[in-house]
Amino acid sequence: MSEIKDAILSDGVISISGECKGCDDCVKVCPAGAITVNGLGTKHVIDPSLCVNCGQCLITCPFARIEDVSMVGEVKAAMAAGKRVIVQEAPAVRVGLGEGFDMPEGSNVQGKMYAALRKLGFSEVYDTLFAADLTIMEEGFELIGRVRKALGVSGNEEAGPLPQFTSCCPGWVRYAELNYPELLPHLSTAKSPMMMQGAITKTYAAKKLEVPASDIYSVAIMPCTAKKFECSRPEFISSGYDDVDAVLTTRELAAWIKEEGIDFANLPEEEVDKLIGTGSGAGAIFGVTGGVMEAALRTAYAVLSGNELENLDIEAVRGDDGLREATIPIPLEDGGTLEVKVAIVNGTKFVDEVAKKVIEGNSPYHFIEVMNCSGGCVNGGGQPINHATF
Amino acid sequence: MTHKERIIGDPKGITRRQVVKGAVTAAVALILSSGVGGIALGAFEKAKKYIGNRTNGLYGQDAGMTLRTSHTNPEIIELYKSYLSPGAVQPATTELSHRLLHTKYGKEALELAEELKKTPITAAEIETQAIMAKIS
Amino acid sequence: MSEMEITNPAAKEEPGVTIKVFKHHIATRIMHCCVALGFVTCGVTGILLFAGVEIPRDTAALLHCLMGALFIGAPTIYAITRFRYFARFSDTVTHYDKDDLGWVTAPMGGYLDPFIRRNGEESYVPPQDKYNAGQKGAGICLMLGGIALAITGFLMWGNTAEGIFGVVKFDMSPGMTWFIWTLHFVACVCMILVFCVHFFLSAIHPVTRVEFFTMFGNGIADYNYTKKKHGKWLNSLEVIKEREIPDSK
Repeated sequence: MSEIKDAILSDGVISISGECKGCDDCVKVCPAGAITVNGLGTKHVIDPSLCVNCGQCLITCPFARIEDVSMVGEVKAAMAAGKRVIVQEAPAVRVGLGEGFDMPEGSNVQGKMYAALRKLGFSEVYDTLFAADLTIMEEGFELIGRVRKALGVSGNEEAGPLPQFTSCCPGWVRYAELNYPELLPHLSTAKSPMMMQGAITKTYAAKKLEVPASDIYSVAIMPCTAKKFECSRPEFISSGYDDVDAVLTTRELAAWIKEEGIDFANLPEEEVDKLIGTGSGAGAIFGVTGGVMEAALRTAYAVLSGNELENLDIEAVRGDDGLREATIPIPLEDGGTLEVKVAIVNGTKFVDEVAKKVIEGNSPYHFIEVMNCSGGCVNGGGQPINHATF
Repeated sequence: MTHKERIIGDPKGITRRQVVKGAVTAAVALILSSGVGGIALGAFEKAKKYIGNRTNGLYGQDAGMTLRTSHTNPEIIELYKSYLSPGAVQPATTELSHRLLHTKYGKEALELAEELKKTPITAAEIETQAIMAKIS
Repeated sequence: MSEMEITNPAAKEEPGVTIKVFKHHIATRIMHCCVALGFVTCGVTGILLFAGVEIPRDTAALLHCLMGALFIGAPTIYAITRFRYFARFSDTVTHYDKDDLGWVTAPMGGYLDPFIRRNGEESYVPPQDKYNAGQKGAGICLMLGGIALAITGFLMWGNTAEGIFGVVKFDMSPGMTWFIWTLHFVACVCMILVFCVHFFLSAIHPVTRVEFFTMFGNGIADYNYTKKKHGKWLNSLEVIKEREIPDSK
């Protein structure tokens, strides 16, 4: 672990500058109650012992007085030192990056993103979409194990309790650790896609590329500031090295591309590098509230029923309400139907109701997706700031 | 001897023009205030439109792809068959999957960190290959 | 300035008669005090908060908001309870004729004379109404600026976490918070500039500062000053009261 990661672990990722006007816009949006309010108009301070590093305050501040720790310098140094710098990018990045170049909101700039990353000097350009699919496999099968245990099917005694919560959102994970330690056994043991991708990069990919893992510097472009905290966690060394060496936000990537004078809007559409770069549409929707749930259901349905869903668009889990629920009937291979009850929490401030029921033992759900940022990662703390006045 | 003191001031009455001007001024004040207020508060929901646009960008990508489910991703299948669970696709079962793709939370995470520092990845790789070889 | 020929018998000087010009009623003077107090405190606290000076910000902010309420509340109550006076004021400051144009082309009511004319020459200024052209323009600016400050201030206060004493709470988007704050700042700068001119003329300028004691005192304006500077208004006044007073020895 590097110095900057130690600093992130002790002081957090986000800080408010001394120029704060005390307008309270950030306080109202903080899901963790981590911003101190000492009275009307007072300058705000973040309490790192409560902060989940989500950056919602940062993208909300009307006067741009909130900053996140930058790891751009480390990445450039690794490139200069001749390391094999390999990159992954989260789904939400490709629909936010264009806004940094005056492209219409929500433009999907995937191909140009790959092209820009190659121009910046990344040796291999993979995609977190691959790891999103991997997460579905690992987390989906874990869920099936928990369900089978609850149904008394032998061989699943080691499985965790129901309901299972998603664990891909580091803001949510930190919030659970700080506020609901009793819920931790309910969190999926699966890592987030970013961390899975990092671990696989320095093991499987290292072997296939015939590069020593010690030469690899793995970078993740994320729509999220909490991912900077996540990649600094001491337990993420399963490859034998830091699984993810550095995280850059969509904003930082846009700034770097501009710095190098790259004409982003006119870049050609390029393809991702094969091996651990291909992802499915299910992986792509990870960046949206309800997307992880939909991706998991598509695979769970196939595994349990033996058939693919006729209509892969599961509208029941889509939407922007803060707390949504749905029941998805899955016909089982050996007859009968499993009514899978799911909940989607869109924004941490809506999780308390759900969490309390789980702790009391009254939760009706099998699977609960929690995303800290309202709307999902597309509105994450690392995305380009979008403050339309009217 | 005395002198007169005369106090003079504005005429007592009010003219129609003054009433109109007074009413118009008050009306303008009210309209400006409520107008600015209404616009300021009404913009709150509209300011979130960008989230929907980015959301549609991802759902649109999904809808346009031929590969739409995680379990049919050929690179994922290759990863399992050649590395994570050699010879088969067995998620969340082998030691390698466990070590590389699963984690712990809270205090247990720190214990996990210590554990991982002690055992090299190769141990998990060897164990996984051995078990999968036995199965197949 | 040319002295207007006073033809109104009520306002015409006569031997043995002392004429007192009653310019501002008590309600007007109280309202003006409130506005002055409110504006100055808001200005001082506002500048301190803006500059980020090390002061107890919560006290300064609360004082700023309360004084802001006084600043806009006093004239609002005045307009409702003394609609007649408010209507007259509104009419005066929105009515312009060739005499007002003449004040502007003088130039500027003759206030620039020390800089542009020699030998103590005075520019010709047509007889003015209760408020001269400059005062009318300032009146409109101050009303509009005051409304702008009040509404933007109210919006920002209600947008805070606790809202207005926990009773009135609402949310503005960050883009809008920025816009409303910027509007507040721009209105503040304009108002302070107009106020500086207003304060200079009403409290410092050797000729016009007699008005200070009219507004902050008993409301009686100096006859000769009124005849010279607001002759048209003087000529329109009515007798309110007349009485015999013994000569002082």
